[in-house]
Amino acid sequence: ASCRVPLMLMFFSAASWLALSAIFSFIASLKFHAPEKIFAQCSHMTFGHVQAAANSLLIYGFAIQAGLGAMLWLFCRTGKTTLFQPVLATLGAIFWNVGVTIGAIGIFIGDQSGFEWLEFPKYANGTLLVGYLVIALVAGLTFHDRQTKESEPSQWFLVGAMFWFPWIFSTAIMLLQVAPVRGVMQAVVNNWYGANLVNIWLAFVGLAVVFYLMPVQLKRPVHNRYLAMFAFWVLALVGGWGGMHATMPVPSWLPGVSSMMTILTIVPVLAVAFNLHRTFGRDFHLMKDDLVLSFVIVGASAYVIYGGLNAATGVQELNVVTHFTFFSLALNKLALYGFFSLTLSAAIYYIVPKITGSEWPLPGLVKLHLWCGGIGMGIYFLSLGLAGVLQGQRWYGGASFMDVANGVLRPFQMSTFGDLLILIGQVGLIANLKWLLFLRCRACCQSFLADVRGTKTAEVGA
Amino acid sequence: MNFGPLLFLGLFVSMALSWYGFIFKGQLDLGRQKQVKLDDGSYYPSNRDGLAHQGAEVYRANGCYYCHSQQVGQTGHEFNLTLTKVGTNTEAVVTAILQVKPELGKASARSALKAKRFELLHGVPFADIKQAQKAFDGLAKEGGAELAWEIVPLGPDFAMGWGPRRTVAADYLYDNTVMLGNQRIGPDLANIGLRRPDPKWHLEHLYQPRSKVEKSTMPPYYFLFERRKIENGKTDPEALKVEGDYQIVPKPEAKALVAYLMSLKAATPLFEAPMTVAPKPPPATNAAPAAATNAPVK
Repeated sequence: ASCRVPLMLMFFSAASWLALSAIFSFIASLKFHAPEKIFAQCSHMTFGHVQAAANSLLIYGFAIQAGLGAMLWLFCRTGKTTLFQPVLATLGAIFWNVGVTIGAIGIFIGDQSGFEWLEFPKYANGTLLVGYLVIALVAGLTFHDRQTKESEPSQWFLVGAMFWFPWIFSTAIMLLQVAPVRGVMQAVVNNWYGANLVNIWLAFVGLAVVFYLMPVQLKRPVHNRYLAMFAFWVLALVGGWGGMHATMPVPSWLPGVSSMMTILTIVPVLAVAFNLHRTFGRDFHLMKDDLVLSFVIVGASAYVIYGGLNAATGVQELNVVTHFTFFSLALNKLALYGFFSLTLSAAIYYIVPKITGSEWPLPGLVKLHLWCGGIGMGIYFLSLGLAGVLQGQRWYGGASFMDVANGVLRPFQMSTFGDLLILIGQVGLIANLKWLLFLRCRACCQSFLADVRGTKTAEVGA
Repeated sequence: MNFGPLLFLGLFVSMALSWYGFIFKGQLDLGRQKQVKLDDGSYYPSNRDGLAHQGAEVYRANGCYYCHSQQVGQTGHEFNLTLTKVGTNTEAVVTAILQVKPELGKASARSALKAKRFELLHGVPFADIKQAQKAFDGLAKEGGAELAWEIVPLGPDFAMGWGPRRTVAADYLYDNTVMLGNQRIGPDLANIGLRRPDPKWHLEHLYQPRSKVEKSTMPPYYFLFERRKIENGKTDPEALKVEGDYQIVPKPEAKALVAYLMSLKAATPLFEAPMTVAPKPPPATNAAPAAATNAPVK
């Protein structure tokens, strides 16, 4: 309950940014089909802006914010303590949202940084860093206040994530925007940051949520604690080395080490998969009534698929076929949306009733979110992934560039439909949250007004 | 035992490892790179001109790097060996040719000498080249026979004609924001200044990509151009086209962007990215043909 104000702010903002990001992503996807018609006359809505906004809002607006919210709540729960200074957390969240807002505006006025994963301009990134540090401080002190002696897998993952992000983020901002490094080293820093962000930060926070929610919903502990520990440490060691693709114009030890470590990430992914599989067993019937559990299962499965494919792209012979194709786009979306967004949505659906004390007013929308999100993601990934593989194969086969581009238009159209479904799912989430808040606010106001009227009549009566 | 500090320490070490390996070591290796002096005394890479730098900002601001990459990669390389000059000792040359290619037979080896250039080996590893060169050492070489070998980079990037050699770190030294790109929704742009040297093509393509490339998915950049009324019956010399009473004139941003695209070239032979140019076809005169060298592309 101590978490209520900062967490509701964070979850509500995160869900709003997620819906906005989904709208932009859908618009960007639509632009491919009729580039001269969709928003063609508006200079601000050019593809480069819309795509950058969609990516940044998904990561910074939704993913990190929702992840931080879940982190704060999980530290309270697993440590059996209350949140340290919720006011500070709220302040941090405000800073974060201000940063995201000015960053998004910055993109649309042409200030985007030129680096994928870090599109926000300098001024926005600085604000984001301040906001994160404040929230991380609160998280750290909440963790410090824990009353439990034994540690839980969620706690390890969250401590890692809490401290990892400022390091990679500040390194990226310093070396790319404040004092840019020379030449192609910028690309190295950029790719290192992106890989750490997805394969470490998002994985850690997502897995923390999975490792907490799955045992809680199934009412049994994680199958093997030591296996979880093993997965955690191996992921921490090898996860941060990805990102350098095979033919990058850098000394070949960089892509070489990167590909080796990326292949090794299959080890923690398999360890997590095995652990979760054994914890879950074959209780699929439980998923029917328990939507939170369903979200977690879908999200965790997406992680395993993503992890496996990501490790496969570490193999240089495969990498040269899939890099630069739609396949890498599809894989990124699987990680960001299929795994992280669905898992954190599970967290939101679980946490919000607990901190506000009220149930979700429109449970049908939760189901809508799950089905639209899951199926949309499936369609998107399969169609775009197929398009990417076809692209890579045909380029290798010696086809001309435009022939290949025209040839993959059909699967790409399917992926736009997938994007639309994802968007509908997001609308479900934000609508639910808005309605819940509205009902709460109305209930609060009504009880307040009733009190005022009650005292008035009492005074009049007396 | 308080696992907190232990956890933190372990995480710190794990985190620091990738930072050390890629960022720190990477910076030591790559981050202090300087221009390289070429054989002809010039330095590579030279800085782009101011308009091209402004164009790079337009490229960045419009997110062009989401669809275009700027790197040419190779999956391997092979070599060709050509006999460019027979010299006076034809018998020694024939013997050498037969040593390299015994399946030819004396008759075809002799007739090969009549050709101005004869390709001895095609698509072989460098060890074969060296061995073949050894065969010509001695009498054939003394007679004035000359061989030339060329590197042929392999890979789909070269099959699509995206550059004469792979791009290396030195090519990006003067980019303020290095925008290597991660997607090829549009073609690679590393050598677009060489592939399409006509600025007018680029202006027309930016204004309406589908007018130049059928079914292009590139968005039209109408806002980089001004639709101005024609005054006094005189059209602006820079006008792209005329639509009734109006003319389409590129704004400074469009011109800067095109200047940037024109400056995108990565075709200078370097130590780490050697490049050979196939010798020009034999001239009409009796002058000896130039041997293929690592001379810069004219």
